Amino acid sequence: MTQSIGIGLLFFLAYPQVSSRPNWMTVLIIAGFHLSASLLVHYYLTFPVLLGSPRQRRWALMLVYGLMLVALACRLSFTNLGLRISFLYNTAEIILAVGILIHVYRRHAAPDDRRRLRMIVFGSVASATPSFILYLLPTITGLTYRTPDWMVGPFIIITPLIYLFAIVRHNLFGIDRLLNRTLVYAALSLGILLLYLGPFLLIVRFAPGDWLAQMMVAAGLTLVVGLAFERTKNALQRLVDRLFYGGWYDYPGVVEQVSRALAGCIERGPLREALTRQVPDLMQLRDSDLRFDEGAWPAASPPGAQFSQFSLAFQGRPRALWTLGRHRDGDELADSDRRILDTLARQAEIALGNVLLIETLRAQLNEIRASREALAQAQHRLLRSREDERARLARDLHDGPLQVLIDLNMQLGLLLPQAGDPAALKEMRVEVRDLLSDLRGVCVELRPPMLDTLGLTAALRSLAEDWSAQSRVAVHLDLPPNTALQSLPGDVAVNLYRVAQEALANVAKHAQASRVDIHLVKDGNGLSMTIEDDGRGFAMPGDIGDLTAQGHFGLVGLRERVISLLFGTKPVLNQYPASMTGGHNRCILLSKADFFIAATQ
Amino acid sequence: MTRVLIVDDQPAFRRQLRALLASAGLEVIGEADDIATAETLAQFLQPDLAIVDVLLPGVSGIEGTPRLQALAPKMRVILVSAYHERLLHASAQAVGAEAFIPKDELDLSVALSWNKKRR
Repeated sequence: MTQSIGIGLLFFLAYPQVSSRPNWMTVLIIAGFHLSASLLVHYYLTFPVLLGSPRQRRWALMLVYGLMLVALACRLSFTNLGLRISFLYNTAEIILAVGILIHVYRRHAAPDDRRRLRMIVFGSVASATPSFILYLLPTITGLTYRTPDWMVGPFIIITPLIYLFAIVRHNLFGIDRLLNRTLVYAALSLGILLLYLGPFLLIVRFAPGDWLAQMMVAAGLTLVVGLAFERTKNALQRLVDRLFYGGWYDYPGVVEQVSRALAGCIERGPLREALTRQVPDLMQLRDSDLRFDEGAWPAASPPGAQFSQFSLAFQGRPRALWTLGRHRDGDELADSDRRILDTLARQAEIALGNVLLIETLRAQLNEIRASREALAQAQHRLLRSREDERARLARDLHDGPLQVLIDLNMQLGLLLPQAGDPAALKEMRVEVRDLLSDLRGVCVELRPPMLDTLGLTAALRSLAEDWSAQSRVAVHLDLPPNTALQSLPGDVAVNLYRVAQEALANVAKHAQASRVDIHLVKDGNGLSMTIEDDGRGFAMPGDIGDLTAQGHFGLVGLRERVISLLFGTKPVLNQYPASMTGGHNRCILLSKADFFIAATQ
Repeated sequence: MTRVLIVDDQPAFRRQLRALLASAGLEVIGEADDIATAETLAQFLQPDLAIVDVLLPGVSGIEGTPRLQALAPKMRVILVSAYHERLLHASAQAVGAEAFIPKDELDLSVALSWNKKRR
């Protein structure tokens, strides 16, 4: 950016001073300035990010270069108006280039690109410095001394040359093709011109005024040109192509670009793209293919074959076959081409190794996921059947022994007044009542009767009241009305109840708390339960499963229930509750939020 | 004489309760083992009192109380249960029952008190 502003200033200050004598170095310097401005726009328009659509870029570049030619022509007319027009053009170009540079730097460039952009700007400034010191500084400071043009010229021309090199080197916006075609058609035009001009000159020289001969020669030549045009053009194109790609195409560029693409491959698609699209495009090769089939392939292609084949192995076994055709101009591959392809094939082999390794890992991961899912399913079934079993046992106890004791108690109640309240009978009744109380406790423990009669809210309230009376810790409840939970599936309700029960037991056992808060919130089709105490908390291991190793099973059991809950209602295993312990404080102390449970009805 | 409807799914308990009520001078005019049957009986017999178990198959005694009282508006309802849960007292009153009594506290004196009370 600095360098661009510098060049802009340079134009601004230098223009009125430029000598009006049209010597060749002045022309070169002027052309250098003009080219600099256009190349700057071209460069930043295409590097490191391609701005706009290809069509938009094509028009923009045509405009930039076209105006450059016009401005250059104006400037070289050495008139005042021409000077102003070219000055206007250059200033606009510089502002445009700086604008694009800032835009790309701020909006589009990755950190790595930014570093490169900074380097490029720095390099440009460095390259522009000598011309600044030699040419501009004396002018600005008004020194009478002026460095001669032939000394300054090369420095001023360095900047556009550097940009030109960068554009060609990175093949930005297909400049190579542009040069290629220009060369072909310029040569063709020159050939045709000479072809016509030569015989005409001869006729004019030796048989002036012979219109018939001239017509005959013109017709003959046109015929020759018409017949030979296509062939000549193809031959020329082949020649130029060989010049461009056959011997000296950008070897390090190809290897670097393809290597970078291959290094990022973790799937077959990008690997195929790099080997069958990118490489043939860069090296101007015909039909390319990549097959992943198993099978025995020849290790190397036979000499003189239409195709080159590379077998890509993984763990000692060929796993893919990469095929490449000849050059697009029909030439066979040169040794240098084969060397590059060999290098690339070895790199592709490494990339293929990565791809296959990742595929294997993915498959293993899927297996693990499936088995985890199966495990959770089994766990869910186990928990459910355990709950069913407990409920059945509670019902049996309630209908059987409990009723017998109630009967006995009532009979004793009836008998006592009739028998005159004997001490033995009274004692017996006390024993029966104690037994009843114990049995009732067992039944409640097995299956809380409130859950089935009054619903989850009532059951939790009953649980909290009993627990609070026993542990002398205050429990604050924030529960939705029973009617809001009526549609809750039975096993969800019983699991939530068990979670609360286990959590309260934990608090009583470890927390030394003075207050517990239980929140049950139903929103939309989700349900969340938070149980929080103000106790001392404990350091939570990274993996909750580690607690079992220390002999603590409570939390792990809770987690199983929660997973079972989630699984039973919505089979998404990866949605474990985000945090089993620290909901509020992230420092993994259990004192604040104990558990968070989310279930979808 | 107070006419009583017993709603309990335990035949043994119904038998015992019938004996207890008889000795306290109450007349058992019907027995039901679930709320649906009880509803029919309540509508046709219009008893003075219903002794209803909380833990019934299907509709619970808590839910059943208002339904029964809708069919027999003059009928008092006493809820009983083998369980002692504190909350049942409050719930019983909330649904319009006269009282909740644990089954093991049922004795002659309790039954006699029912006989005296009339609406």
